[in-house]
Amino acid sequence: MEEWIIDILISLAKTLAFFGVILLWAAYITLGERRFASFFQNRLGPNRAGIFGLLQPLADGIKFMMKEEIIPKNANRAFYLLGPTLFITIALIPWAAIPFGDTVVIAGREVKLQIVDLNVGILFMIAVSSIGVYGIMIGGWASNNKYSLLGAIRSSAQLISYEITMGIALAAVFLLSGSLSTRDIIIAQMQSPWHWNVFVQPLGFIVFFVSILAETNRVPFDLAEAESELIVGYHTEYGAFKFAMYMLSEYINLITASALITLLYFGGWGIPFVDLGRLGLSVNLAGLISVIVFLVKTGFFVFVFIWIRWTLPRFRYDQLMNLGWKILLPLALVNLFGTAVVALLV
Amino acid sequence: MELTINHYLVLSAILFSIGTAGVLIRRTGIVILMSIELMLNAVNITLVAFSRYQQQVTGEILVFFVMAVAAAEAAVGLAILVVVYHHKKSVDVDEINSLRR
Amino acid sequence: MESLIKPAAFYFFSAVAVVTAIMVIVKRNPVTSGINLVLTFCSISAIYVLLNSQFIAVIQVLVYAGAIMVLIIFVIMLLNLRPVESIMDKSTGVRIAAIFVFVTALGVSLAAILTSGGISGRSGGITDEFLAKTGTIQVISRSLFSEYLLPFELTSLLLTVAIIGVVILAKGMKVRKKTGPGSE
Repeated sequence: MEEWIIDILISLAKTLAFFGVILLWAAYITLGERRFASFFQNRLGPNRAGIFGLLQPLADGIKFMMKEEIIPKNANRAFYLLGPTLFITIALIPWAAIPFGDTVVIAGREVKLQIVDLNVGILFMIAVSSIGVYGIMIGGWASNNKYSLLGAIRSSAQLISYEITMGIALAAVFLLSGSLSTRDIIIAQMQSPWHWNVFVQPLGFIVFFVSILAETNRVPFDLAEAESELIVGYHTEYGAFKFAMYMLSEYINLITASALITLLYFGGWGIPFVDLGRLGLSVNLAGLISVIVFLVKTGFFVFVFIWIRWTLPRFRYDQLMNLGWKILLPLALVNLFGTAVVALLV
Repeated sequence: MELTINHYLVLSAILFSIGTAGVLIRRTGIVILMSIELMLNAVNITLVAFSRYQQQVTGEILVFFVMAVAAAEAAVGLAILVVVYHHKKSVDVDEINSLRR
Repeated sequence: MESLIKPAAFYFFSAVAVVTAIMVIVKRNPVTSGINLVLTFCSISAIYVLLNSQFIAVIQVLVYAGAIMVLIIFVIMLLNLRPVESIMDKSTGVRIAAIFVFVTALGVSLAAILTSGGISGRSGGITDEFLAKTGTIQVISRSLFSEYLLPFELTSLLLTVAIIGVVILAKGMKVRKKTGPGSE
């Protein structure tokens, strides 16, 4: 075979494997979320389909597919269908730049466990997530329902506000690692757990964590959904599989957020006090271990998100805006300034 | 087949002319604003193309400044349109003529 | 292979950009115009990637598609603008003038491009190989923070002025509302 055919085949295989893993994972988070919710609320949760309810996502999927497709009469049909499609597409794109693990050797060549290692990696992810808001805006507007529109407007205002804070918190990380490539940021934290950005940048981490909580529309920032006042906000008019697409993409965003926290602040696939390169393992085994470590860390943060959701109450809208603009933004700026001064002096 | 700088310049010229036409024929203030953004983008293509084909970085930096100006322009323009809407209940530029009357 | 993919991608994204740009100015519904313009910006970003300028491509999506257009569509939805009855001005004079200007602008620029003998002037030495080795961001920022530091600082001043201007416009609206319509 020619060289470029092997290259294309490997890229294709990586892409399919990544998206398969992500979609499956997102489907199982719906189960995890309900099981944990029941645990926190002292009840059982879905446990009938399969052992521990493990077939529940499958049952839900079949249910969503069999439901009647309803499109509201006064909705703008094209945009109404575009909304969820766009949202799930944009939710999947950032995974092109997220590394799952170190390198492995396939067919005699070194393959990075990452679809593409961009030199503008993190910036690319921020850019893509900044256009994710269109899925919400278009869906809420095209439904032609005042609650949907209100939910969409709230949600987009929230996303725009917290994106700025997130970007400035990230700038401090770039400053320390000297690169925008996701792989380089992880490698910069490899020396020891004390080099993890969470210890180097505690203030930056707090700001980033709160902003990404708001970016993913999770409690305590789920004002866009607010069942009690807006029904469920921008997807009120969506049923059947279109609703499932919105829900699935929200869970994909949750995994993306957890993966970002892992790779930016918790050393990616690095194991504390263990240097995988020095253990004398074969390259493929070390690569496999790095993938498992990355997935475990990401899974832990997914759990933290679920934990927060079933523990905290919701903010009021003015509190949300005050927190974003008057507390988090100045904190992020102070953090960036401090980091820059220290980086210049040291 | 090789892409020359003329390919990019022709694309830029077409987009710029479409933007100009938009500014001239439309009356909705917001669409006029969008057409202006389109014109600025057409200019940016030219700048990046020249920059890359001359193997310099100046054009790309100029694009950076154009984007900052475009962002400022969009923010101020939209704020003005919102104020106008609150007065006239319309963003039609033909209705903003109280200075002429 | 390589030599075919690049022109094919260029023609595809150029076609998308031109068609969506035309849609922006001919659609009656402002929201449709806005979403088409987002598509135009995304295809222009792809053109930047073809020019091997990844940083500008990402910034293009971030600033134009992700910030400016979100703001514009946000305002359209907030004001609940309805589709207009006709896109054109009613007076024939304006129509003829618009078509005349469009044809002239396109004709003059195309003539200028096609009769020119390619680019001249000094070459800066930042080749594609050099960029692949150092990365676009490093090259741009080195120049931005040394040679172009003053314009960069002035840009921050410009943005501050814009923020203050917008806040004053918005606040002024609130004050007027409180005192009522008759008191102006």
